[in-house]
Amino acid sequence: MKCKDVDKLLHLYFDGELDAEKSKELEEHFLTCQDCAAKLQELENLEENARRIRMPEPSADYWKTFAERVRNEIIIRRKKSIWARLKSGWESFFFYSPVKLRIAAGIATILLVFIVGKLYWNYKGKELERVRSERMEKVLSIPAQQKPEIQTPAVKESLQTNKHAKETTFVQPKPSTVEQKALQLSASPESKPSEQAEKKVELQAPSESVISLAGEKAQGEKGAGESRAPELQKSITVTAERPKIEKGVTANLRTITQAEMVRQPSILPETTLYIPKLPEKKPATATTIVRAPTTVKKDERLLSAESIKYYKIDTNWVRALTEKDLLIEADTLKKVISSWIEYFEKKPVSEWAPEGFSQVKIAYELLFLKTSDDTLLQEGIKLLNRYKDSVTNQKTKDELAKKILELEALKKK
Amino acid sequence: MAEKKFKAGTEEPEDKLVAKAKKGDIYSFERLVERYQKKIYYLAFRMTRSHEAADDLAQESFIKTFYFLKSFKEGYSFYAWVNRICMNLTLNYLKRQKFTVTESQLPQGYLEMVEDTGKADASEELIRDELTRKIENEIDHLPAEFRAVFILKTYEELSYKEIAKTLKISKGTVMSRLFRARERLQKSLKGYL
Repeated sequence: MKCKDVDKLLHLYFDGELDAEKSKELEEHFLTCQDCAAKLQELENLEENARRIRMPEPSADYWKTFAERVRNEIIIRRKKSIWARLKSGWESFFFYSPVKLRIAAGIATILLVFIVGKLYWNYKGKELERVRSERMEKVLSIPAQQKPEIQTPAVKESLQTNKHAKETTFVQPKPSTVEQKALQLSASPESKPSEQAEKKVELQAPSESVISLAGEKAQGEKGAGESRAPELQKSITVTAERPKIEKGVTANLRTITQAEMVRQPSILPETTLYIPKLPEKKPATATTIVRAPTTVKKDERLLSAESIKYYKIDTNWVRALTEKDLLIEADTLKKVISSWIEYFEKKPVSEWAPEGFSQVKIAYELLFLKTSDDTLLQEGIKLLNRYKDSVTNQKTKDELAKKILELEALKKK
Repeated sequence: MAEKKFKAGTEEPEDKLVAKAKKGDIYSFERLVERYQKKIYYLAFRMTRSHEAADDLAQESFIKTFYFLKSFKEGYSFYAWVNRICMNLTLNYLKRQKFTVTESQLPQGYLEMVEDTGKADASEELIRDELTRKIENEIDHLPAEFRAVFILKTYEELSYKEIAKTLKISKGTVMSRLFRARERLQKSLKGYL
């Protein structure tokens, strides 16, 4: 055995913690190595001298009474009430102890983190709420700021006070021929007063969009209507509300639609109004389609809303499609098709809006691109052929034939 | 009556006294205290170097032992159990007090209190006294954890395993602390040993 090994085992040997075999090896080494033997001797000297340390001897009385004092103390403590024990336990809890201190520090840290987190969360939540409300106020304030001046007292009167409605009045620069006819209809002195009062063109229903020919409401009497008609023909009051969002529309689209609807009044001057030729006796409540604004004012927050347009078919808002709308869901496309089919079935052929054909054709095209299902295209071709046979206008017939050809070409591809 | 009975009786076996004390017999427990009071007192005194502290700690050790006697398993050493309680109380006390004793703090006439057991001649006795005092002083200046291990090994003659159990530390830690304690003492007493 080497001295290095002995160094490691010396204390174990000295304390009697080594087994007999190792102890024997060490003892043999001590016989040959004086240095290691000296180290052992040093340890023995230390212990011997340490044991020689003399202790003070308390008096004999102290020892006689020690056990008795312990007994008395136990009896006294036994007699202590539970409350006193609890109290002493509580007090002893506050005695300094590293473990207690660590536990207390840990609890304090957790509490602190919780409180700070809670405060921060509250602060952040309020901040977010404030920012959100500011944004909302901004968005809502746009139509109010852009509201054009009301030009005549009659128009002012015609502003509706529906609290759910957003209103604006604008001046139509030059009414189209169709619109002029409608206005003439409404301004006709031959109509009954009660009819005249209702002669605003309304688009009511779930969305409650109302487009009224202002001024007509103001015609309480026959003569008055005649005298004011030319002036009033120039102004139209539009009352529009947010449309109801139907199921199946994605959350993103919903948001855009709401924002767009809020801003609608400011951009309505560009609205195209389709009014069919009606028999004179019928009230002018037959406005069928309103195409939603084709251009939307740029807004950084609502940049994606630029390209989204809607058709108003009676009571429904139907998405206006273009060939570029490749990301629209199949459900939406099917819904567009069904809405237009319903529209064509409901209305007489003479009232059919030609835009419906384009929309149906585009919808089928997009559906085909999405699903690669030939039967869909075939269905579309069949539908358009049916409409082609039904329409009397040669120009519309040609357009429909062209569309059918396009669909067939796509099918061949 | 019970008191008289015990006082009159001869040495009762430890396990019987423990069994009786466990049932709440405080006089049996008193007998146990009498048996080990000195050892426990000196253990506390070696650690604290204060009579008052040693007295309090020794008493408290026995009181605690009595209260926790129900959890004491029969067949084990009663003294080892009290010793463990005493050592833990003492270490806690020292942590609270940051207790360190210097020579000047020792009670006056302290050495006079000690029985003269020396048999060597006067000059040799003087040298030995000096060495002993030096060792005592150095032991007092050891960190409490080192001192505890050294005292339990040197004076209580416990094995590494027993020391580890008493102080609730590993056997390796016991070895390490004991080695360091001795190393420090040897270093400071170089030339004396």
